[in-house]
Amino acid sequence: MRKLKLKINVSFILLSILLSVAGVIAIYELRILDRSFNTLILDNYKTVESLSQLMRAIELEDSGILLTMSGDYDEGKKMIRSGNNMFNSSYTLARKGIKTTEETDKLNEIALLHGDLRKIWDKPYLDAEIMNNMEWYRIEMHSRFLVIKQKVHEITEMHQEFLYKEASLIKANSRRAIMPGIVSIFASLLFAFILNFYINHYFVVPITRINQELKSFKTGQSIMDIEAGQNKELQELIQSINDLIRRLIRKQNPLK
Amino acid sequence: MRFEVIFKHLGIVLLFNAIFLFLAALISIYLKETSALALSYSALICFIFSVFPLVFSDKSTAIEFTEGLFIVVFGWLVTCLSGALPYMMWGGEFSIINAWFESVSGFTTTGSTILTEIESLPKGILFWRSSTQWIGGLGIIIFVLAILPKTSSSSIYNAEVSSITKMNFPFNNKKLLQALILVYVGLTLAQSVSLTFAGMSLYDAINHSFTTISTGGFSTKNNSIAWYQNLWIELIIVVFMVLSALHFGLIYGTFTRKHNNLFRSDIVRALLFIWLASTLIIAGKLTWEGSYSFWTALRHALFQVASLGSNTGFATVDTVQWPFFTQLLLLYLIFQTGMSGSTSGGLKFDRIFIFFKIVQKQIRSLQHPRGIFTIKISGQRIDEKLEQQTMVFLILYIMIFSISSLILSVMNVDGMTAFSASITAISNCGPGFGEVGSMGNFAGIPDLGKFVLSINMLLGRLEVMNVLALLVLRR
Repeated sequence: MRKLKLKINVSFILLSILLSVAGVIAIYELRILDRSFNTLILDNYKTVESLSQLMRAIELEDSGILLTMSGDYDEGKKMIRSGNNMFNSSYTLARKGIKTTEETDKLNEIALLHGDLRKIWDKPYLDAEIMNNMEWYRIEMHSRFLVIKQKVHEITEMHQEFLYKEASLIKANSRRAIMPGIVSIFASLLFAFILNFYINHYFVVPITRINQELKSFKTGQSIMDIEAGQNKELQELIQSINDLIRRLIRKQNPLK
Repeated sequence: MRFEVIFKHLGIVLLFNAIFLFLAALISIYLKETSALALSYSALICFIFSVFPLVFSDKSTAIEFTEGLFIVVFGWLVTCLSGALPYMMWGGEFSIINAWFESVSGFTTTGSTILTEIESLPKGILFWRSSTQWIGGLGIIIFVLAILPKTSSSSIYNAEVSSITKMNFPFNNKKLLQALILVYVGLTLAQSVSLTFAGMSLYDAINHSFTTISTGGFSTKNNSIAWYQNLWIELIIVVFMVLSALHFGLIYGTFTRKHNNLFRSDIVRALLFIWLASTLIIAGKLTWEGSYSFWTALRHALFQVASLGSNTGFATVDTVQWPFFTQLLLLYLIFQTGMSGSTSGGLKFDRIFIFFKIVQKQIRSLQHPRGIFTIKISGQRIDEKLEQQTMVFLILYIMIFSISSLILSVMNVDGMTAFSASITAISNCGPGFGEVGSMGNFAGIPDLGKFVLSINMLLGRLEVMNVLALLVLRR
């Protein structure tokens, strides 16, 4: 009976391996998924926020210059300073959050353009001719602001594209996390079905037949004559029962 | 019917898948690819389902006819299902139906693909994709029989290797199987070495050899063989495509100087003549139309005739751009397929050859009503039963691809695409014309259409009759 036990044990060990590995793979893929989620939601949210702040900072600086040129020197200067501070902090945040070299290049371009702008935004209150000169503002300042705004817009689009790719990756990863589970459910069902067939075929059916034969023997109709197929354990059992029956018959009727 | 015997043999079939999946997983692990886990887990599942029946089966016994039929048909189904596992688990372009289609297309050596970006796939997955064709090419069942000689005279053989295969190769079954395997492995090795010398990377050379010898046609490049732009590579592949479409037993007989060899076969002569004539006609037409210079036209025509005639499906040019007449001629070559006893699937040229002999016999009977005529091929008389079988097969074959063309048309697939996709699927060729041309793919076919085509591929590989025999089986 040791072999029989071994066969059943091996079957359950195989089933356990199948399920355990599926579990390990699912956990591994879920951890990757978790990491991707963190990147997508936390890191990228900060980057998106910093880029929109960058845009607000530029608009604030633009408004500050316009205010200065219209004569409200103190308020204009205050707005320019606060816009510049906002630009610096959001630029540092965006720098940390961006992922691709294209985005880095674009951010460097923005820094350079902003640097050029800073060099000339003091001119209205240093040069009386420029004060109230809207033509100078349109050509020298506004056009530069527009270019910077365009660059910020481009980098935002690039980042959105990156986000889309990240989201697609998460979709693929989530599928990779789910599929081993689905596959192992079907595989386990099939395994259980085949195991059930083997147990029925090799053990349940012959044992039922032994039982029926023993019942019929009680009524004295026949002695046991069962074939157990390839199952050695059951063959041994049948052999033992047959020996016992023969010994019993011999005891009851020594002449036989 | 003993299910334990069927389970045991299906398990052995899965063991081959497990071995090749394991190799593919090793490639992915080495290259740190995203497919490593999908391939490893698929290998484990195949391995468990292959060893599990062996735990319970103690003795090996002879196989009965119905059991043999079940093993062959379910062997293909099980192997296609297990082959789809790594695709499904890896994801990408592989939805469940796409994974099934790609797997069936691989194992049946059809070579139709749903992939639009082949080169972006992990190398492990691409290796598995090529391996499915190599395993399928020889026929897993024959493979199993070769390592289990005890079953060589059993009915599995009769189900897998149709009577027509044995017709022109009167070796005993065991010897035929040994010859098939020797030729198959030998040709794969020879082509791998030749392609490496011609300038292909070792990885690509092995993959392309796997898919040439099996007449499968999966490539590791989006543009198939056109990617290399190398005349030597094209010529090497042409030689091996032609060889792979001939009876492997006859190739073995030629190398071992046996009586049954390539030079004595009427069928080989007729097939090569048709291919050569088709090459010249297509080259002439292309030159006449001004598409190419004569030599370029000859180069492309030779490659396409060998590729589609042998049912491999590689491409050096987009044949959809060619004149309609040349497309029709190529479509006929897809329909007639290669020889029986080769890795070509579908109708098999031998049946076309017998069909024309039957027509000839009928005409002679009309001329001489009292005469008794027989059909001889390579000096051997053909049994009348085989003549009947050939005619029934031919009609069934035409019926099946006509019905599947109609089904595809109902799904708004255009006429040329529907018709050529059905022929190419049942012939186990790969590319067709229209949307599914040599540089196109099957991604645009509706899911139900992909399923219908995958059934066509299985029917083509299983030679229709075996499936029908199983469907009408009585206990």
